[in-house]
Amino acid sequence: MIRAFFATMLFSLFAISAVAQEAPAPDRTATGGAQTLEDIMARQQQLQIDDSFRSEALGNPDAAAPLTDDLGARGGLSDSELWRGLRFDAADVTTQARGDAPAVLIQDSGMWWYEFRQGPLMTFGAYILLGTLGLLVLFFVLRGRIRIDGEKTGRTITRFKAIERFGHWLMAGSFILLGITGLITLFGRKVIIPTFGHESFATIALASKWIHNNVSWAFMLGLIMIFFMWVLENIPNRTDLRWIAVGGGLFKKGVHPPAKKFNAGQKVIFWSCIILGGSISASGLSLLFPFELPMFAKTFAALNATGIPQFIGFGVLPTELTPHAEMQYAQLWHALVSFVLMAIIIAHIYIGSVGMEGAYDAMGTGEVEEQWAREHHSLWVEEVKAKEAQAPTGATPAE
Amino acid sequence: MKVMLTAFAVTAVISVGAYYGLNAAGFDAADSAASDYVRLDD
Repeated sequence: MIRAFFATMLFSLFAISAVAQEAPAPDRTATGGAQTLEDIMARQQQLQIDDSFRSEALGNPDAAAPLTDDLGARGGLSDSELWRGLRFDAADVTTQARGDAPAVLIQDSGMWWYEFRQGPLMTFGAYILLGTLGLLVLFFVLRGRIRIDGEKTGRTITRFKAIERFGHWLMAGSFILLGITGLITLFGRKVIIPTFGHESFATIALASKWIHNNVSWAFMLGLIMIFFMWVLENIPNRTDLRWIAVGGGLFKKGVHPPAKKFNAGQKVIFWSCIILGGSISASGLSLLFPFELPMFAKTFAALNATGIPQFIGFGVLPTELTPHAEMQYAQLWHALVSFVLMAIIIAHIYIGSVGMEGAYDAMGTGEVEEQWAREHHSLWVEEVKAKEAQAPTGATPAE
Repeated sequence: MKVMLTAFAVTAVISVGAYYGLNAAGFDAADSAASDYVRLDD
């Protein structure tokens, strides 16, 4: 699963570079090894260029002419060599600001990140969210609300305790806030500024940033809570295969495959929340503490060791990233995974509210209609009833 | 419903607590990025 998502990420992040053609190396003897008109023209045509003729031409102060000579330069480097050193992050830069990031004066992958963020990332996000909404509308039109088929008993059964519902709503409420404010952050420049103007967006963006940064802690706490409360009941088992074989009975009236406390569909939601939510939290922490928690260089090194990037055709991934590149990868990964989780959660919200009669009660009051429970979680109802039968008669509830 | 509203209220409390807590602990952008030689709040 994790590898699949890494593969998706790699495909998404490198799709542009993978299809870009590489320009043939021109003859640079006429310029003494410096760039030629062909190099400039190739760049203008968006062709990839082997930059080593520039990135490695950084001068050698030890072999340079002394300052007293006609061609001597202070520090033994010409202006061009100094600028190339800055451009390719090879210059020895010292600053009074903390961390490694301020010493990077030129970071050219920033444009690639910006263009990917403004283009394919937004397009992917819009398609996946609107596509999910469209599919749900279609599902509702075709299938309608999934009703309780049998006769209601009037009896209820406790599905979730208060602490379980608290953990769920802690995560759910914060996720919705994070989703909305994340979308505002990503789409703000393209959608909100043209619609409401710069001044309005400044206020909206400031509020969004505050909410996104600080509500994230509630989401992570909720995620940890639901993991420990529900992980044992979400371990896949053979019953899930039967549930999946009939599509969970979602597509046909009167079909109710047996399920324990969580059916296969709910297990997919659970593990999506844990894996994708965990990944979003990790990249989010990296973004929350800029330049403090870099993780992509190490991840790329681990991926290179598996051979997957090379197998897919991306070659060896870069394992030396500038602090800024780390943040850029974290932002893209954060947004990509969030879009996938948002799509899944939209479907979850649908089926837990308007899509299925009686489903909301599980998280609303915690008490569900017994007939609903028998139709959707028959094995769990049997377990609950068996426990009730085993309880000693005449026992008094604890005060 | 009561549990849901409690969770939302706790979300608000955690958020405000995180904001003031992290700022007080020196995790604000200015403190994180500036060296000791930079006089903040002077």
